[in-house]
Amino acid sequence: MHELSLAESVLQIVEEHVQECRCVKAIHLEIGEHAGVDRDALKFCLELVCANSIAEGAAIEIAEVAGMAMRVVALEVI
Amino acid sequence: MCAVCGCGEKKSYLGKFGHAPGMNASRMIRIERDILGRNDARARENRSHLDERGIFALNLVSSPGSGKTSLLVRTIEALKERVPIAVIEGDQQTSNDAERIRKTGIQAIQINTGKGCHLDAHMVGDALKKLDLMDRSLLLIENVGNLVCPASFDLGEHRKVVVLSVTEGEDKPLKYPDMFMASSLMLLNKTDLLPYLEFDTGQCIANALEINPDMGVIRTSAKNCDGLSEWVSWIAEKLA
Ligand SMILES: Nc1nc2c(ncn2[C@@H]2O[C@H](COP(=O)(O)OP(=O)(O)OP(=O)(O)O)[C@@H](O)[C@H]2O)c(=O)[nH]1
Ligand SMILES: [Mg+2]
Repeated sequence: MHELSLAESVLQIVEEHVQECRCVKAIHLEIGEHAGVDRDALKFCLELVCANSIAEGAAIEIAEVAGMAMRVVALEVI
Repeated sequence: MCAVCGCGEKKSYLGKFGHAPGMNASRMIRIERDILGRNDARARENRSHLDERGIFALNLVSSPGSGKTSLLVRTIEALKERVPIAVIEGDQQTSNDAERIRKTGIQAIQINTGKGCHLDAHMVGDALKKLDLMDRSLLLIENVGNLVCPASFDLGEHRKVVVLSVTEGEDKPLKYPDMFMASSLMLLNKTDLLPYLEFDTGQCIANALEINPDMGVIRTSAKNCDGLSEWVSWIAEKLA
């Protein structure tokens, strides 16, 4: 239900890590099966918030993991 | 848009990772950052602030209408002579619940989340500053009625307590497992209505324990006060 605010947090984290290089090609996330997050909704929201950002058009890769974790694990940049 | 690679930048950027033709091999940066990191950091701050003052905090979570406020009113009546209590109420709209709590003579602060589906650690941290909390007191937080989202947001409480009412059906722990995973105790409320329902209490508790074997279960009725003393002792034990 709050996937949009999660997507905003993801973009914030991406922006904190990618200053020099301006192109993010992929964002790799891990979402716990009990994190209460709908992965399709999160993907959709991320595409929205990434428009006109350094991560515009980035592929969103979401791996499901056990538990309640929600992490940005890696960024693919050029 | 950057003319070299089509990224969102206005100008092409030829930095050390380069958008220069032929140089745009991609590179992985591992970052391992919690998406809720900012919430969790504030929650830790809230918790250490509470710990310093010996305040024990509970976060009550449930679907709308399971009886959180009714149980809180009963709990306050039973405990207010023994320990100072303050309440934080979360709802999308209205201050109805805070007003119900204030009638017991206890201070209560209402947070309206607007469209928000859960309380977060920042809202609670700000509310903590407005409350006149006593050392060695009890803080009761009633979350927004929602069996999904509040599970993910640490507020800085010491325990989450999930309230499930018997009118909701015995399969809810299986349908909404995250909340039951996150909670230390389940209050199975509105047991006074059991004679009118086809609700299998044993099955419901088995479902809940299948999701979280470590969770405690207390059957309660905010109407006739069944189970209230067991619930109050559960809290009193944590205060000691
Ligand atoms: N019969 C019966 N009714 C109850 C009991 N507990 C609460 N209710 C009724 O259930 C309705 C909702 O109770 P509330 O205490 O407002 O529930 P809540 O969980 O605080 O609701 P929200 O804050 O709106 O999510 C009210 O009409 C209560 O009188 C109970 O143990 N037995
Ligand atoms: Mg309420």
